[in-house]
Amino acid sequence: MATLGEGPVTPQEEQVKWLQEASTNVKRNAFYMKRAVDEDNMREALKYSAGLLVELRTSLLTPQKYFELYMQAFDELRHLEAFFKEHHTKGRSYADLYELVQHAGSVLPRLYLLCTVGSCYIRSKEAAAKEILKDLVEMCKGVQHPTRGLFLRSYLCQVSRGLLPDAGSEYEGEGGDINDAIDFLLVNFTEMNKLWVRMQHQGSQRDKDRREKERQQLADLVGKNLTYLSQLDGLDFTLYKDVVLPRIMEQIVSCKDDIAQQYLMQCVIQGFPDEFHLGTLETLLGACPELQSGVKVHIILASLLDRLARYAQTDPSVVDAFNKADAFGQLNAAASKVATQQAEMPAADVAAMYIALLGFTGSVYPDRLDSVDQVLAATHAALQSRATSRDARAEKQLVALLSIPLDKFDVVTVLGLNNYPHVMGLLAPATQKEMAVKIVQVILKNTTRVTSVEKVDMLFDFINPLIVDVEGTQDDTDEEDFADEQSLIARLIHQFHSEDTDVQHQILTAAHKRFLKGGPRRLKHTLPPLAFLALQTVQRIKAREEAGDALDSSCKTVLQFTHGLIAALAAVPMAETALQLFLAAAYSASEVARLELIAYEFFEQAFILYEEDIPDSRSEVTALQSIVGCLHRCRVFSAESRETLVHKATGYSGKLLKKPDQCRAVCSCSHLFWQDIPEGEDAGSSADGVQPPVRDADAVMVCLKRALKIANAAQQQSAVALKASDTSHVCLFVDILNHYLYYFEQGNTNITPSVLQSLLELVSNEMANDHCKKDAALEAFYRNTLKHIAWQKKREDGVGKLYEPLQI
Amino acid sequence: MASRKRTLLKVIILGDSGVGKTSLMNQYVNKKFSSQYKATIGADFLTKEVQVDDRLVTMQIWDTAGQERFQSLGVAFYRGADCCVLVYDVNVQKTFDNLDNWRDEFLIQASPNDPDNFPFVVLGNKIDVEEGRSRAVTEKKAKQWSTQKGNIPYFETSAKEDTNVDAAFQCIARNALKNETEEEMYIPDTVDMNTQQTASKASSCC
Repeated sequence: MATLGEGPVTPQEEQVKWLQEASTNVKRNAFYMKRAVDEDNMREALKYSAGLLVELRTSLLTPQKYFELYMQAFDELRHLEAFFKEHHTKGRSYADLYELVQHAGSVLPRLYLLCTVGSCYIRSKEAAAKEILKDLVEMCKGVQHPTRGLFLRSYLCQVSRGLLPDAGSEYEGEGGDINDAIDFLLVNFTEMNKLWVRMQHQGSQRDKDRREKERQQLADLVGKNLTYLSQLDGLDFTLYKDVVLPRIMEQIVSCKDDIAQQYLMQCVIQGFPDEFHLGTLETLLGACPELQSGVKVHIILASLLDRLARYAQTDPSVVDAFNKADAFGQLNAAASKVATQQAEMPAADVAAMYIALLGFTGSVYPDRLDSVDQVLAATHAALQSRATSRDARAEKQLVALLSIPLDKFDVVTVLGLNNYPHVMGLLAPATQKEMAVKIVQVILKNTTRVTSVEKVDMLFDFINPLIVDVEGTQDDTDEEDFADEQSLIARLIHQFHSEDTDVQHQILTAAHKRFLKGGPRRLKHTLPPLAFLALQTVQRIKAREEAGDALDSSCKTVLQFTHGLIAALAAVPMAETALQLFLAAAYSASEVARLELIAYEFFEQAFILYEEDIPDSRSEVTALQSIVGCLHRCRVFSAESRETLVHKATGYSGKLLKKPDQCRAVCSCSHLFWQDIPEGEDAGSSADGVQPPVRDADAVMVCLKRALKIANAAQQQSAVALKASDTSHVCLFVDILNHYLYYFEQGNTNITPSVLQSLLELVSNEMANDHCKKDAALEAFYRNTLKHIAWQKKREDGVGKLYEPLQI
Repeated sequence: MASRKRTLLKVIILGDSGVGKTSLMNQYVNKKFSSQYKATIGADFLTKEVQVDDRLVTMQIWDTAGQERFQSLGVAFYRGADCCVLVYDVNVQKTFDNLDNWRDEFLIQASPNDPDNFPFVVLGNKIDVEEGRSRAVTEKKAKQWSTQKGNIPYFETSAKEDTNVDAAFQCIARNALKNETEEEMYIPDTVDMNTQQTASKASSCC
């Protein structure tokens, strides 16, 4: 027990205390009531039941606590009810009992008892159900206190459940008919709603919040009547349309109460079946503009649209019924009317309303883009006058709205709708950009192809904030976000695809033109993928040319276009990437298009970049490796041009900063004189502008010897520097040994077993050094090389024979 | 008074919106079925006399709102329940996943004396839909869950075709009756009617 004297402090504790006190009184009275029942003493039973019911007169409890007390009293009254039922079997009349209970002193207990007896009275069929019901529903007007009245009427409904003269009920006929049942519930509903609404206007303004919260809690007591109505077997569509719905709507509209309207509209939509709604759309929708301005009509409409959309999916015939009723037209008109008449309706709510309509359209008419366009038009019309661009909530809803059709239909087609750009135009620049990101994401997700110049141009119009700087969008983007955005665009480029290579070339040109406006920050992201797409196009053109198609865009023109692209990238400046792209283009020109001059030009460009713009020696090494690798594979060049290119590349290798880099680069360059012979080709063959593979054994040897010389120089350098632990030159020897072995196996006649043997010995001597043995990586490299030789020696084919003279 | 025979069993049906709580109750009590969806607002009960072995008892079956928005008054009616029926739709996974929530919520709100042994019954409804082709929850899964939660009896039902409905409610009644927990007994300290204010709470509470 709480400390006596101090008393509870918080309102919650106070509630608990009050409930406990009332509950104790209910229990005590119930105890005596049940004893009286056991003793078959009607007078005492009534006295104590009235005693327990008196507790329900409290005004102290909140609705939820009152409900607990009510449930307790309700449970106790079941004993009394059972007693009343026995009453009948003892040959006493209910009419008398119905009179008798009215002697109870105060009105609330009297009416609870009356309802209890009334239900038994109806069950006995001593009187017509409709008469008793009419009397009870009328008598309950005696309680006008909102909470008490609402619970009393809820009790009345509960005890009379199953006793209404519903169609097919045993109380139908003399007891009345479905109309009486409906009337009873409608009157009760109306009275309850009046009590509920009146509550809003009682008490001081200060308590408004608390009062509204309490009203929300009581809502279900009022709404319950609608569940009872909808569960009547006799309630067919005609009765609903002609009697029930008009009376309900009349009550909802005329009560002019925000809370009641918001809640009861939901109840009607959720509580009655789909078919009924479809047949009464006009009434339901007609009421929407009549509702109070504080009512969130968009939630009500969304709820209705949601139901109807799900209904349409149950069965295809339903969609026909929708068309017949022009459901879409009606809904669209209703939304417009709401938006026009409720001038103060926030833009976000208007947008939410149209989101619901769009969702409905999408699921009911999955292939009707014209409906989508109509909704967009309506959205634009409704929102034009409401400043959305400074309203974050509205912007968010609009983005959601614009995203719906993107997910449901082909993105490019949706963007082509007349009204899509209009609605998007309502957004603030920053939000337009957000939307642009969304559009690109959806295209990527669905791998939608953008197939014509017009479509590409249109798409660019929509995603313009990502393509160029737009005022008002740059402030809050950091580098990382910016890179993310641009990499989306980079990915997007690969969705540009036309089967017609001429069109593809036009698309490339159009995209290039747009990208150039984006400035260097963007070009470094957008140009490389565009260049690769161009090279891919060259491949496709070549295939078509070979198939004999007549084309406007040749490999040459596209390669020239690519040249311009890469040059622009080099100017960004992005020398390293541009160099790599020039090489890729050179390879394509040589090996795909077989255009020697153009391939040569690409190499030239790469060389210029190498000479002028590669920032450091490490990058030079990488770039040179790429140059050599690419040139090695190109076979379009005549001996003369090839010599020039190879000469340059080998020249670069000697000029690298560090000896080991020089050494390795020279080794690589040796391969420029020793091209692979593709399978199925002879060493001397050449076809379609392809030169025969270069196999110059002497030149290879020159390179390898130079490499050895450089390795020796490196060795001396470290000796001079007194770096005994430096093993890097040994590593170079092993490297060179491997190159020797490669050419040995390739049949380079300059490399004889004796040449190899002496190199092997040289390396083996170097490896004997303690420092080398400790260098695990080097040690493994060397061991593996020896293992390879041993392995080759064991082979029983020509290679085995070749290796035979070698001694390890 | 302590010997007063229990003749009223209180049963609460819980589950997500649209799983068929109202339909099951209507099929069982009134032998009627309607395929139209009508949301239930608030909570209310139907009663049915039922014979369990040699005892005739009245079942008070509480149908509840599956939609949260129609549960504004709270769940004071859970109190004193003798059995709780958890319903899900075998064609909708989410309704099955939510059984845990419904069960927990019930145990918290109703706070029965012995929550570990409080009788629940699980019904997987709508097995008639597309002759079972659209099932999302297998019988095995559901049984597994029911077993895990303390051997809860499980029934597969169709309110529409009246499959297993009677059997399920027969089991519900039997289990409710088994849950013969001590009803909170009220014994007044005094029988003096003139000093009502001094009466205090039952001595049986501890």
